[in-house]
Amino acid sequence: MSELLTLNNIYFTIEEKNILNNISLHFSNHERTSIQGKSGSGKSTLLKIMAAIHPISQGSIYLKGKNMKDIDYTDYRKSVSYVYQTPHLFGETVQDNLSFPSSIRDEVFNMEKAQSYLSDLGLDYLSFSQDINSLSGGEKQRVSLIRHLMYPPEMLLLDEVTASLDEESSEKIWQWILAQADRHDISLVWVSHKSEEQEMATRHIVIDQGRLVENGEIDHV
Amino acid sequence: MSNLMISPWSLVISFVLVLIAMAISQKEKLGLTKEIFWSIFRMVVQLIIVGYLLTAIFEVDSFWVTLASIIIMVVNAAWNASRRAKGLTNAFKYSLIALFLSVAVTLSILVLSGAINFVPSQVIPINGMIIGNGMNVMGLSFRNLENQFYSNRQEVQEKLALGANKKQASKPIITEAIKGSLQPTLDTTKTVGLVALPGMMTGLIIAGVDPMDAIMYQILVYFMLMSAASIASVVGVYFSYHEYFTNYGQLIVRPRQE
Repeated sequence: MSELLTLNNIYFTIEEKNILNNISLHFSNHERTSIQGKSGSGKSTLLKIMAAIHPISQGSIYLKGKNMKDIDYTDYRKSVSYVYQTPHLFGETVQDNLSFPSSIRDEVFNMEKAQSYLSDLGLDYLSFSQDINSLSGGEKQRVSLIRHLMYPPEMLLLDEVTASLDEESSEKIWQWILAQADRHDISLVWVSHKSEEQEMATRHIVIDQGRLVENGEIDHV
Repeated sequence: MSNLMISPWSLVISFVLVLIAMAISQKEKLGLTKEIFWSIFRMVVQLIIVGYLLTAIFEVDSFWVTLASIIIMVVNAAWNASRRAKGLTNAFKYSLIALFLSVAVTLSILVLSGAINFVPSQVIPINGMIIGNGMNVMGLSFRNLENQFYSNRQEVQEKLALGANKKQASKPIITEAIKGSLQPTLDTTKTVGLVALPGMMTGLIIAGVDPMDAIMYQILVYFMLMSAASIASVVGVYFSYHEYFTNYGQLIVRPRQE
């Protein structure tokens, strides 16, 4: 396994309050990492820092040995991609969302790929022209995930993406995410309060009040 | 048709119109009586000063004095526009660039087309109309941009998370900010003459100009306002939106400005 992402002595401070305190972590490709901790411990903030959505207050992040500051921010986020718990779909239609990644790359929208992903996630019945306001929460989350995987990143950060979904939908989504991660060699890092999702990890990280309290591989018996 | 001349005595007697407003405020207990009086007083003093200044500038009839007057007016308008952009560090600079560009392009076309001459009695009032409208448009642009970035912050962040650059993530917001700031100019242009006669035309007709000649000037005014507003809005918004992001393309979410 090669080193993918390194966090060195990360602090994130808002209004003089340390949300993240001196976090140092290494992530490799092929990993399946679950981040756990109580509500408000800083888990989501850590993911957003890793995805460069929030600026760090102190410390440094390296992607494949290169300082994040020396990488174009669009390239960085194409490599390390963060998925929101409650996604916001934009534009008017399903196609507006699924074609967005290709539009920002000045490439042609791959309709076949998008259609096959919709089918994989049980959304064959959705047309590309479907109004996003008619979609349920579960459908929106699946469209959001496809949006992130039209161009697979090197690391996918999932912030409680199945929190509001039923068990069957959650399982279907996770099967698909894990299959995509295997196929495209994506390192997965996720936050979840569901024990069955935590058990899918090969590594656990525990955050408490912004500090790293546990960081280890798990021996699955 | 005879020219209308207002004598100072007519103006003094017409002050009864202000007294009507003050009386309404008193009767309805609006608490605005003093403010009405002082705003009228301030307006009179300001316009007297402007009247003497314009008289002097027109008498001098110098290219450089005219140009300096235009510059001072633009700087003042940019300052006022920037005060409506709470939270934007460089709002004054953006307003200055936007308004200078809008004045330069619009006045150049008007002078080169022969619609007006570069004489102070034509250029200064026209400039005043351009920057007055431009200032309002800029203020609207700043406010719209702020509201849009606040309301759509998650959408912007999700687009950034997918690898979009600042401009790609902000495009719909930029579009809405510009459209929203131009809407009042569009609405006014569409309804002109249907509800009330606009100021330029009214002034010319009162001064004895034939209505068919007066409307040509008014049409010219709306051409120039459309151009000036569009230029000011586009330039202002495209400069300003960058301030909503860090150098690393991270959205800065400001607390809502009241």
